[in-house]
Amino acid sequence: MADDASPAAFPAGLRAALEKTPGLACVDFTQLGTAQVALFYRGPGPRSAAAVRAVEEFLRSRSGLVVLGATAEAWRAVPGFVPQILGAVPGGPFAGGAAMSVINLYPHPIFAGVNRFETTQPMAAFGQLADDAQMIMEGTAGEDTTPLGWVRRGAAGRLCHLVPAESAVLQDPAYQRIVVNAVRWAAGRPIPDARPAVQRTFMPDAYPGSIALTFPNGPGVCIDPVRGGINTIWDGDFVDLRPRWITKQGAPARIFGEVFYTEKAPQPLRLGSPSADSKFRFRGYVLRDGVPEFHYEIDGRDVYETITAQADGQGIVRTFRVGPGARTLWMNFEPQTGAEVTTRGLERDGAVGSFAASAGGQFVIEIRRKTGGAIR
Amino acid sequence: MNGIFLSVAVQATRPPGFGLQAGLPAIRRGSLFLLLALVPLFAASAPPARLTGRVLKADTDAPVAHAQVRVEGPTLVGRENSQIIQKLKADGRYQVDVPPGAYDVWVTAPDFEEVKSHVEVKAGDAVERRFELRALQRSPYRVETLKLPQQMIGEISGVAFTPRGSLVVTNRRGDVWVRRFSDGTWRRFATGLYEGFGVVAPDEAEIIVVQRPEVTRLRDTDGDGVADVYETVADDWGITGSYHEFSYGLAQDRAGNVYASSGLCSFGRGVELPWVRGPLQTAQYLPWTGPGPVPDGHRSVAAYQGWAFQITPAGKWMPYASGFRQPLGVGISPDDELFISDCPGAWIPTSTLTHVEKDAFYGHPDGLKWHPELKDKKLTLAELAALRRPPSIYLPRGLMGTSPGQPVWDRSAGKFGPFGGQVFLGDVSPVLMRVDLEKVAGAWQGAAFPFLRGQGLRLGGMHNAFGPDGALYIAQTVRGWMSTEGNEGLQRVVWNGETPVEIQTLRLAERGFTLRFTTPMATVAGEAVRYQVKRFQYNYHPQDGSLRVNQVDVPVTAARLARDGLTLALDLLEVQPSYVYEIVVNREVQSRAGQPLLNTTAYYTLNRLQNGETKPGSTQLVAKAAEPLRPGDPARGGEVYRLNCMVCHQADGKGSPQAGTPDYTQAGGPLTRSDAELLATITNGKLPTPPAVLPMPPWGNVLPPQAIRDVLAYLRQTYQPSPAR
Repeated sequence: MADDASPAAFPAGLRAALEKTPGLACVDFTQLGTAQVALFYRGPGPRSAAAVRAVEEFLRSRSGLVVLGATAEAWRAVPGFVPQILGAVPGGPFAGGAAMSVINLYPHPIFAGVNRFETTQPMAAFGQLADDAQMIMEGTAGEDTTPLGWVRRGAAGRLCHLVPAESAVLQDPAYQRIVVNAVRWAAGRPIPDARPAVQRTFMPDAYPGSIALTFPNGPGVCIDPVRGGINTIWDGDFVDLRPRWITKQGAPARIFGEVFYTEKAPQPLRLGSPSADSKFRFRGYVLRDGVPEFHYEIDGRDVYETITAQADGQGIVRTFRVGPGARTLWMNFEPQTGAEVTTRGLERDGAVGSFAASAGGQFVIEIRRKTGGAIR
Repeated sequence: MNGIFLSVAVQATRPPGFGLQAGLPAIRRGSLFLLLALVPLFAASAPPARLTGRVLKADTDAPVAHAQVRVEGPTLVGRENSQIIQKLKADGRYQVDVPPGAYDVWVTAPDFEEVKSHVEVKAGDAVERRFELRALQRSPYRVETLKLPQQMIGEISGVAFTPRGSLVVTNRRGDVWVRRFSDGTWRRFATGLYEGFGVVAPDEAEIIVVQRPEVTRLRDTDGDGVADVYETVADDWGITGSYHEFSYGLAQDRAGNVYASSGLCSFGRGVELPWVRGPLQTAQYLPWTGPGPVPDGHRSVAAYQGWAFQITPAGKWMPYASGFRQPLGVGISPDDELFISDCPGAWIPTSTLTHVEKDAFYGHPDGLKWHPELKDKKLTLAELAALRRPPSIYLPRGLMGTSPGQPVWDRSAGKFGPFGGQVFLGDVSPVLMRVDLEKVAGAWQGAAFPFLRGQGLRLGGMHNAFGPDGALYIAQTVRGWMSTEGNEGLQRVVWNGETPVEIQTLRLAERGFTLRFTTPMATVAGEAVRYQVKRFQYNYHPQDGSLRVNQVDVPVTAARLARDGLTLALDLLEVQPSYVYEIVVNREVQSRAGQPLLNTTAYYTLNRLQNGETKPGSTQLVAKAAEPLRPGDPARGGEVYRLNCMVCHQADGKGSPQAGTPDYTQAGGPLTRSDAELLATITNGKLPTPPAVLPMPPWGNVLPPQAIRDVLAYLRQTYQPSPAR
């Protein structure tokens, strides 16, 4: 991580918080090229031509970038930053400098370990958020809302911009935690205590009331409690529920990332035969350390499923725990072009798998994205 | 009139420029086309009269903070409640442009007496009025806004208290927050729900919520104050993903049964196919045969929409009663009986509060598609009317809001004042209502009163709960229905211990009504002339709501005030069942201490007499015949056009491709049709012609027939193309 300015210019408290974070090391601006993540307070400010070139080179390097309270003035020396990288247009003071009545932290790993973040500091307004920008923090004052934080994942690496940057905010340990998390996220590193997010909503290509399960390093999974299966897996750590919230006509939630797995056929889990008319019931879920275990009943037989992410975010592991029952449990599989599906503990026969142990037990299904595999 | 009115200046000249700054009209649920038609109304028009002035604290030049001017009048028909509402800025100035006509101007502000003034204006008038408001000294109820955690989205959609007194709220973003009784701190108990819309809290560690797809039991099993179990209790009804398709509730009876309800789907905007949980039935149970498009797009397209549900402690879900439209208020009485409030629209003529009995039918037929015995019966209108149970209470629009919230009973043992056992309901408008129920010949009916209007009360009071402090907590959300504008969050109404001067109860008597006041009244209260009584009915029909029908004045033949000044017997010339009685008490009726009534109007829903009779007998009172229709008046019609039509049809009558409206000025255009055809189109509305997507609203539901004639006369005079030479 490269400090963008002299120690005097960079908020000291924040720098100290960063320096004492295990796994992070701050380097001088002159070593920018060696950093995995650059953290800019406002922006690089006026710099020599060589320094500006170094910044521009860094921005092209697919490295991570975290910016606190970007201003057009602070990025004047790097003219391509605001239009191409920031993903929003600065718009002056928000709501005339009024304090936020609401600060909404959307489920995102950057907020891991932060139970509450509050501030009465005035905020800068930003508009024209880029289509690929995922708003993760939003502020409200009166009737108006403004983005207070967003992330982008693109060819040039990961960007996180956090609007709050007043000195008092930067002294807040909760906000310092957010900044540290943002640095880790921008570097593509695991974020301690980050948990999956479970959100029930209206997902695309799913029955209403489906569940968006997003893992801190991806992927995202749509679990459909009506079908009783996974409708979609995508390469991403975020789902945007705002389309459902912002207007009365609410559209389905928006998925960010390439989809590499889909199912549509009704009810993959059945009892007795692969095509039996079994009654499927969704019975809810239990969170264990933030990881949900879903509970289903198939003709009254209990089936529990825990979904975990593969470390690189490119697949999932579905672990099923099956209660006792006399009839064989069947799982129907659909052909996939974007993912490999493997099983353990299931008697697999082509498009179906069976679990016959009447005493119950466990089986596992692994779904992994094929290299470059994407359906849309 | 309360308050002081100081000066009136009427100028003969039209004021320069227009651009009225009126607030957005209040929009009733399901009236999107009206919203589209009304919002930009004045921005593009040139209303010919202007009301201006300031609202000041009495005897000072200091403006009143947060004042609101509300202008009501018949020429504003077509706006919600025929009114314009303007919220004033810090300088207390108002400016409202209106068509010529007669208006009541209400000025309200938190903690100030409301002021009402009557004004009549002609085209071009500029009327300046200064209103002075007196501080509200006599109201013993105060509205307080609770500070919420900054990270709580204030779309508070449910409120409850645990037995130990922790405050529990749901919001529409899917969170459940708890303010712990022990230390007053807030904690997010659960998150990730799909539009929670009601809550009961049997225990600190167990909270039951209704979210769109299901009723869910949330449990904190490890004692960290955060739920780790999200158990699906019931999800047996259908949902489609439509934007307007809510699951409501919750209430729990002493046996542990939980009650919820499902609103109809706003099918007019379509649903997401094929993703419908359960079967889909888009055809109406009783098909609308016209004329014109279906008046109200709310339909029971998925299973058991428009029903109330019961969920037993063992988790068994049962359809409980049918016939609801948007039954958003679900409550349990102290007698352990289920009551549900419903919102007006087709088949539900005005807001209602209904005692709900198992297997009964309450009016909206579309949910009968899912009724095990009636789904294929194809009942006629007459059969439906015979099957329908009337609501226990009608809540007439206007004073009694527009879409009522959850009924809750005052069980505060006197902490909330002298209304123990009575019902309180919020509303989507800034109204808190009070209902005094009584059981007459075995059925609940009774009187409804406005309780608080304004006084800092915000919009969107969908759910309520009495707290252990005796205050009434009101959960407020309006997203999707109107401008949020600070109207969301959590408020509480607190009683200061002084006795409010109110009609405490209004009960049916053999010859009229018996009123009991909260405090001894002066002898003038015993004069019959001080009471004006009307009775009226509503139509049970598929149109979108109903105006009052068969309304007549009912002479008060005697009034007898008991010696203690508390009880008044009011004898009427006739007491007939199946009417709503409006009782208005004259302002001269005051307490012995010289205080006027806080609320002077009550509505008694008289479904049945004490002898059980439900059908009206012969009567001496006959409603006046409607005035015969006159030929259309283009001048009046122009005002109606500017108010209601111009936003889509444009000031020049050339229409708009975006709105799908035609060019009136075009040769061979719509105005070549007969008056009869055009009157029918305006009255009944019209489906959009693709690619247009907006229907022409059925204006007959909101405009009187004369106004429709007037607007047609205006169209003919203004836009009729010259005959071809």
